[in-house]
Amino acid sequence: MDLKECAKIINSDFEGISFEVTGMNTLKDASKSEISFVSNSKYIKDIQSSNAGAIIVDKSTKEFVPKGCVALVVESPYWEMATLSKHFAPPIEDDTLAEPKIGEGTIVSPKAEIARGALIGKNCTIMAHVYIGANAVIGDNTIIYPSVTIYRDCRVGSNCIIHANTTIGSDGFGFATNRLGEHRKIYQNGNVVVEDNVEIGSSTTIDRAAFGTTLIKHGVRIDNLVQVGHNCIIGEHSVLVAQAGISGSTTMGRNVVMGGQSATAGHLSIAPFTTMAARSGVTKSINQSGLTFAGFPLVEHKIWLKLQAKIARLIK
Amino acid sequence: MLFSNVASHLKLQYFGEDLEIDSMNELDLSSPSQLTFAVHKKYASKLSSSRAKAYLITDTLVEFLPKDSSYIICDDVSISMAYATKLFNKKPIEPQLLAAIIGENSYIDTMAKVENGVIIGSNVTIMAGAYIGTNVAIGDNTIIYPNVTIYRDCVIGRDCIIHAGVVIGADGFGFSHTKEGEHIKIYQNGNVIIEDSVEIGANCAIDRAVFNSTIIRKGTKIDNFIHIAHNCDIGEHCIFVAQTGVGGSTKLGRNCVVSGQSAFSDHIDIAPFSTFTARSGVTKSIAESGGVYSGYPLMNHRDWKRLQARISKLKE
Repeated sequence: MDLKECAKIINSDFEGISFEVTGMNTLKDASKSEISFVSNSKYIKDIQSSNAGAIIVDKSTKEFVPKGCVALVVESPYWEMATLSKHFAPPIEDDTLAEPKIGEGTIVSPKAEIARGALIGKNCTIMAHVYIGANAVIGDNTIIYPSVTIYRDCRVGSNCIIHANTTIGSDGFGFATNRLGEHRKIYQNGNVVVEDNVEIGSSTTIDRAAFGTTLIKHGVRIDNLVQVGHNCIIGEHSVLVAQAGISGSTTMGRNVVMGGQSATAGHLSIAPFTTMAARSGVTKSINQSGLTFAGFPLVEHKIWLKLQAKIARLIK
Repeated sequence: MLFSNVASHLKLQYFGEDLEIDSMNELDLSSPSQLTFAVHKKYASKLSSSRAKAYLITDTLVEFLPKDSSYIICDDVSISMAYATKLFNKKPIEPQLLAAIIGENSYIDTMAKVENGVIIGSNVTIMAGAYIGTNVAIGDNTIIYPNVTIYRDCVIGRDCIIHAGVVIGADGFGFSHTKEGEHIKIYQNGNVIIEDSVEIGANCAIDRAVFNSTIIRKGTKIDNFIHIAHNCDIGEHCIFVAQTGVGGSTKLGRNCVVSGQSAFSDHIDIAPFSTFTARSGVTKSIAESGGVYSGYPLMNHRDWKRLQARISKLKE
């Protein structure tokens, strides 16, 4: 889509040279042909180093946009980013794509549905009622149990096991909210990448990224009914026990263990080899690796034990 | 499979007679045709009374083996055990089995998939998108709503209602951990048994046992989004409210009431007629029946109410 058209959609006064826009992205990851946005003054410092071809800003932020980058000035950049994201959403299914390619030795149930553009490796088992979306890629030797849904553009590695009813790549929970309290969908145009040798339990959901990728690195083990929010990165060999929830954009190092029903807030960074006991509620980043935590608010496990002993004494 | 084949799969030497092995089991439950294992010194006393004839064992435990046992000495028994489980894992689909036998007046939607070897009783309803795995048995009058997945070898009783999106018999979350922090899959070769008159709400996940069975006993009612891990034994007429979780091998007696978002640790025993209020976190066995409990850490409901009263005064 032409930049002029984009500007028109969000009612922005457009100054500068138009170009063909290929997509939208964050300030950090945007390329020359992409549009980015600044919705929070704390990101002003990232504007200078951004490669974005155009940036959606408000009046007060316009002055920070460097030369050679087009400023699209609007009243509320986050809302207009949501408006524009709809126009970059690919079709759910695409008839123009090639027939799916299926590797040697792979069994696909006649009751499974493989969309066009999908690539499936060798010796996989794809069971009944599985849906594999447009352009999705599956590696070799992977087993996909019944009723699993893999949305378009997602990738699953080799030697993975995905249990029944799990959903990979459904839309992340992202909305812009206006002053009237209405919510406008931010189309989630990224994807999910599940690396090799990952096992995912049943009825787990891993949401697709708003921009970029939600990443599950190799050797990760995920139990049943786990929620992984959009744009998360789960480090190698990490373990997520049943009913854990990881909010959007949280990044974990390798071998992190999240106990049952534990959860994290969004945009955190968890050091490698961290262990969270069951029911932990993580609201701040963890920088030191190798520690064990518990409770909500979160404290080190040994302190949590002491604290519970003191609390118990309150009723003695 | 011959014991010598197990040894060569593990690339280890075997001692004693070469035996025919049909499956694996825990030490105290093994029959003479099963392969078992002893990881820890604390199992020394159990070894002498074991009926098994074939063992994976550490060198320190060899002296405690019953006479004439066959055994493989392993550096790390839990890792060798995990590798051995793969040998006894059955493929999800077995086309050579007989076509399903379906009782009178049963309705199976054309969009459902029923594998070979299945036995379905009379007056059963199986709706679109349901998947009934190899060798599954379903009793009379049971209703299976859309997109339910029942993995191979599971047993569902009569007069059950299984709501949409439920997954019964997916692999339990069991792994052996290497020194390098990798997780080796323990193949889950058991099954799930759901007895008569059980109702299971939408999107629940009930995992298959590693050996033997995960059991939901008759008359139990389960709400939505509940996780029941491998080898659990849930007593008769229990009630589980939404979003609860039960850790592996935990046993509940009859008529327990488990309120919303509560959870149980693994390997604990809960006395019959216990009641848990919402958000309870149960980490220890309960021996006395008829109690009412709350909180995490768990306490008597009356103590919990007193504690909350004290805590609310702390802010004054």
